[in-house]
Amino acid sequence: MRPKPPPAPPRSLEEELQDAVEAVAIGQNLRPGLPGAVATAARGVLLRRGFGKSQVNVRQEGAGLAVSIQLIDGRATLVRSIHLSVEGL
Amino acid sequence: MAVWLGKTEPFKFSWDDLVRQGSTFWDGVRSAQARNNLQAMAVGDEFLLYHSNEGLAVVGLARVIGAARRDPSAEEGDDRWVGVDIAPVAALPRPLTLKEIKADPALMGMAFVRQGRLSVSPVTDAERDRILALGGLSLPPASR
Repeated sequence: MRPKPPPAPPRSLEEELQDAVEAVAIGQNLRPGLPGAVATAARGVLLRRGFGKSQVNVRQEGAGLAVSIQLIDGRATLVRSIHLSVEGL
Repeated sequence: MAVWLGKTEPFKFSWDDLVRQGSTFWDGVRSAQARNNLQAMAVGDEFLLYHSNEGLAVVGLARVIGAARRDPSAEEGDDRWVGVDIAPVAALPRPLTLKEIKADPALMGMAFVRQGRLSVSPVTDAERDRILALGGLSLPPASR
């Protein structure tokens, strides 16, 4: 009997966000709805991780997209800021 | 042939992006009224492109090259949203600002001025001709 492989190490929030936005954007031509679709993918990860309040901004940057995420707590205080970039569109 | 106006934030997708790519699928619309306008578009219709949020000006004239089809950027299973394919025709040599549009008696009543949040709106032939004239673009008139 083969031993079970060890469980994959937990991924960080940044890694999961990066994977989610790349899955939406890589290989796509830039189009008006793409930044919105990237933001939706990022929000999906945040909701799954229990971050109810966040601000996600997506801007074009060179040949790619810059994703800026602010996590906000219940008192409207910024608790964490995450910046991602997606290249190779 | 009908004429439409579509708004885009240039830091997300600009006229220069459209020119560089040669065409694009105009998607991401999530308003029922704007969606209805996309569905009403036919191949050959004209499409004025307006830079919102930054620039605030009509910057170019494009043409619809593909009729409305499902927007793949909508969530899976949500078939309400559509987009159209457009290609650039010509940039306005002088972008026409919102301020100028609101100050012009022939343009101040445009649908996109009256309904500021509407991202895709109809344009009359007379409005189209006036915009192109003020923007310095010489094309045959749409109004007959």
